[in-house]
Amino acid sequence: MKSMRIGIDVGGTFTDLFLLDEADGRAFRHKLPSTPGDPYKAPIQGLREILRAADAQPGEVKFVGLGTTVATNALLERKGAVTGLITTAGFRDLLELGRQRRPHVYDLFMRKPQVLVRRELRFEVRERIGPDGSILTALDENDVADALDRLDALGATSIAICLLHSYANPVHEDRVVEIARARCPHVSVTSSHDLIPEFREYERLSSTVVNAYLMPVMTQYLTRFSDEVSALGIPETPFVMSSGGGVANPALAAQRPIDLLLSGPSGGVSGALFQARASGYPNIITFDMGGTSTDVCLIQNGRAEITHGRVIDGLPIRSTAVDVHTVGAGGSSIAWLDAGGFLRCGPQSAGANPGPACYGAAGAKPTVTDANVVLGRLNQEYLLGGALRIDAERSHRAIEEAIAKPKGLRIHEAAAAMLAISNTNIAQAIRFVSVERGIDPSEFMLVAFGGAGPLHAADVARELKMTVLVPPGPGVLCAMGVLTKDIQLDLSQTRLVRSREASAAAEVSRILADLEQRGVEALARNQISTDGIVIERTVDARYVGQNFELPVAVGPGAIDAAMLRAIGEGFNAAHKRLYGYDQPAKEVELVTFRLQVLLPVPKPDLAKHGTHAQQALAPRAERRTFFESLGAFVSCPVYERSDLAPGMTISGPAIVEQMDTTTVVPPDFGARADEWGNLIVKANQA
Amino acid sequence: MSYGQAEIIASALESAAWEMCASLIRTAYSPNIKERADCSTALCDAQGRTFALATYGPAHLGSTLRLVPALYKRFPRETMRPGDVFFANDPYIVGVTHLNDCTVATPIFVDGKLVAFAAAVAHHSDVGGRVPGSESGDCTSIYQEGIRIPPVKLFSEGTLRADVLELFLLNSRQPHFSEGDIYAQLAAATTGIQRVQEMHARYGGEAVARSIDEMLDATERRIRSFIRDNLRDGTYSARDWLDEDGIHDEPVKLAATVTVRGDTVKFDFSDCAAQLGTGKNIPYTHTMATVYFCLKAMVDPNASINEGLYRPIEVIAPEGSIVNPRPPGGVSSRNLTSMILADVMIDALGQAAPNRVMAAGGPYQGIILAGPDPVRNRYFVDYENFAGGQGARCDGDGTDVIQLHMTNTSNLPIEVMEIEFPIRVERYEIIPDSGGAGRYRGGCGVCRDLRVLGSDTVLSVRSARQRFPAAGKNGGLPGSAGAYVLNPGTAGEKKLHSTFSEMPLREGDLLRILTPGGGGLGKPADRTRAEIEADVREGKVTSEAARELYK
Repeated sequence: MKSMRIGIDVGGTFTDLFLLDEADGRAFRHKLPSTPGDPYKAPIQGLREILRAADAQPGEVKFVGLGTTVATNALLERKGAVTGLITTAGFRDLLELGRQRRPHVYDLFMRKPQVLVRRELRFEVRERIGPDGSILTALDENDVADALDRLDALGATSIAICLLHSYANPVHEDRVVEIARARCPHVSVTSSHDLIPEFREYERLSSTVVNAYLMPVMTQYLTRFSDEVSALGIPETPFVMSSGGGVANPALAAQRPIDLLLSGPSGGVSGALFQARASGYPNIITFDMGGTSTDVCLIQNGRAEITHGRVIDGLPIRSTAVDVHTVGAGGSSIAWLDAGGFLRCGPQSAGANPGPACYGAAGAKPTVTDANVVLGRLNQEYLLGGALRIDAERSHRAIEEAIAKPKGLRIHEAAAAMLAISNTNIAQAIRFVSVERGIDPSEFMLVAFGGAGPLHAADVARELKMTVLVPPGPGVLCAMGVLTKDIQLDLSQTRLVRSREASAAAEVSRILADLEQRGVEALARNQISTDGIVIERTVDARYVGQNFELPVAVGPGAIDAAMLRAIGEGFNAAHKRLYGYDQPAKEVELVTFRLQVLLPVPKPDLAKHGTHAQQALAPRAERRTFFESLGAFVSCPVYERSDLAPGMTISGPAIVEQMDTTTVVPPDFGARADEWGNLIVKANQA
Repeated sequence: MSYGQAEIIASALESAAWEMCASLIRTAYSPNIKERADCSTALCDAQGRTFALATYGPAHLGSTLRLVPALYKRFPRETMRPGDVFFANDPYIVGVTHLNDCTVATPIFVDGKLVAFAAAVAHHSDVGGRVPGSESGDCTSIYQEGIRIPPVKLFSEGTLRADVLELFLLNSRQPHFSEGDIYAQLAAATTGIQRVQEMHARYGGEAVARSIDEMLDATERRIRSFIRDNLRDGTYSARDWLDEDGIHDEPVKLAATVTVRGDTVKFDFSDCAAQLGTGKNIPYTHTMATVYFCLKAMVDPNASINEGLYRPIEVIAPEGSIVNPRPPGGVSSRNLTSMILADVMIDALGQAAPNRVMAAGGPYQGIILAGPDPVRNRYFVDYENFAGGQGARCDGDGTDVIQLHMTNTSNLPIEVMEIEFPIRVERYEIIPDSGGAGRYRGGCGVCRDLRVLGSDTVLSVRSARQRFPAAGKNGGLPGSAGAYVLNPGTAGEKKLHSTFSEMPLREGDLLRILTPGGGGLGKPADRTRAEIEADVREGKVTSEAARELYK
């Protein structure tokens, strides 16, 4: 019987796996080094190892899901395909001109990111579509043939096609695709209207080019990975985690690599939500703190905030993604004094090499991890369950030299200031995704994961009047998250419709029906059954005259005048929430229509552990730990996470250690292990 | 007192200013603010010191230099009440940089005591005057540039003074934009009030005040140390020319003498031309913004923007000169003048900082197309700036087609423009050979072709470097000059002037805008063969030019 579900998260340094046996609820976690040179190797090796650990046969596996940074790394390291561009005559430089802004207002020496298609690989074809979709100049097919022949001769293996106003009428782009497929069958093709039929040409062009640039790499990678999974004897096709929080089959994912650029963080957000929801918390803010940065994301009523546009490495990308906000505050963030004597933390990071001073490299700078070591919050001898030896003395010396002496502070005072500043940066990131969007974070649970999240969570939570949830395996949460998602397809279409025009309802109905048709066809093309699909509709709207849009949900049912009014009211409410005012007298303009097609995948059942009565819980050790609220080092009990049975409580000050993280419970906080394996850390007077 | 408190409070106050700015950009109506971010937000203390200023536009760096004293002069401090909102736009009184920059300012009270001000400054699309958009180099006084508003109360203790608002809106060609923008400014100021009040509630007024002192001092120390470490002591001079004053054909001199001594810098503009009788003067606060920009760019791009940045700097800007005009001198078109002034200062500062040398650049060329829109049945105003090329730098080629110095505004998406206006874009393309040749090449300019689809469309333009191109440095050649050409390649081809207002165009006319390239740096003969070949392969330098210039 098939009962094993396996999630894999391939990160830059480590590959994590999570296996759940649905037959008995047993969970297995596994970590192994990534293989960046041959990125499919580590996950395949990991599959072998975790199956062995679970004493399971490949034939028993019913689901494999993969979160991967391969697309992101290929983009950041500029290791994509030789890509050509075909565009409207007069506009081949658009890719390079962009929005004509310099990357830093004051740093005149900062360079713009390198464009992905060099000028000699950008070709123009005579054609022109107007903003209303009318054909102003017919497509010159000889230009297309010439461009394709020259691109072929120049060695292009992927071609991006982006023509002006193609979102309004795709006929010319479609024809270019046809000619390209016939003339250069071996070349990958991405057309802009097929990828994202939305207006604003530079952003659409940039996304199309990124997609084309990554498509050959991802096709090769995902094909190889699927073949290897099959060669292991696993009977099911693996799925890939996409940025928007769903999973896609490899064929579909390979056609839309721009949807994979946030595959990893999206897994973390899903895992955090799944764990928190088990404990009854649908409103959470994720707090994923790693070595170099912290990711936060707001989830309301079980739904992560979604964005449709991001800038990655200077390149605008229009793609549905969980709206993760990143700040340069991690365990390896370096503390420094600026030329005015102000203490700062990050965004520069010591990374994994040389890493924090306590890792032992000569000349290393003081980091947030070192401050945690100095204050006794982290183990004084080793981390990662003993896999990493540390030298606490080096932490002391680094902070003394770089911060304490020049500032005239004692070492522990300097370390406390470093943590306070780092926590302020994190709290600001959380305010950015909540307060600045009209949401009170104190009504949300702070779900802390990543190596350093639980270490800082309580102090950050105090600042925002939040309660903390630390899931059982904070280090492999992303891998677990992959198991919790549905197959998801995001479609969009720009069409400007004024909501008070008589023809609006009919037009909106038609647009949404077309989108639905496109979604069903895409699933069918990829041999995915449409049984049980769920469709969610939103529209990006604005007041007539505005130049930015806000998403508004479109409820189920036929589009009629009442529905249009409801959309208008939804827009007024969203505008008021975000900006503090609305203008109900103004007409609402509907701009970009979006459809999310979800095909539910069975979710894993976590084993619920019975609550035990409070047993005697003995600390494994005592450690001298500094707490700002006490202004002194005190003797603090250190517990082992696995000793904490459901129902057990501990009061601060306390430290809970486990292989992949350390949780600090400050003196004014207490902690309780719940029946889902989560640790709830809460202020005493809350 | 907790550890790192000054840093924490300082960082929260700066975040508050940026949050105000983000809110203003998100909620504004006009593309000027929304798409081009031509705005700033600031927090000032009760003494008028700016302690946090957020902006993407360097022209706004001195937006609140004179604000608080100007308010106190008319509304004594003890008469101000919670819920009061002040409004002003006159560059000679509140010190914004032209009439389009309208300021909304609110006092912040804690326990009945006035502790600070929140201000939001935004470029309104039109504030009246003789031309659409209110900006024109050929205005002969500020009276032609729009309505002048001294500090007035827009809200009194929370109640809107509808008469004041109506007076302002009635003077605008685009009142629907302005009204929405004012509310966006108000929302930004409200955010500032809330954040400052929260800080007071949490840390107490004394700790906040002490932290503000500390943050200003720390910024000052930081700037002084960067000046000391990066600029060599000495006196350095540079000069350049504005093509013309907007009405007469005479070139206009811009010159700076920069004296670096220890940790201070003095900028002396005594050699600049006398005040012009046109709209191309730079009002005092805009001159100061230009100085702050250049110093920050040359020594410490990441410095905080607050009063501490202003302290180590001395400026001599004689009253009655182009850099400090007296009323009623016109100032609406001050920005391009300040772009050339920035090139002059960067030239002089580069002599003190050999690792920051940069040749002169090709500034944007601006257009305003306006008229009735027969299809959409409304009056349209399309206000756009097209970037030129950056000057070559000591570490490499200048960037092609990028906004320089005092401006960093976006172009409008072509698809948005064609949906909104009766205009079609027919070409947007890098101009080969426009970057000045040199060991390092200047950045190229761009060619933008616009087809006029409406009848009765009028064109106004503003530009610089159409006669005096961006000079090369150390043997580098100058970049190409900018130009406006009507109906190129036809019998009716006509090169237009560099400054004019409201020229009627005909339906079907093609307007070509050519932006200037940046100057080269070092001798062309020293450029490597590989670099020349790459330029030719990419089509940024023609093979003829390569043969001729890079011998």
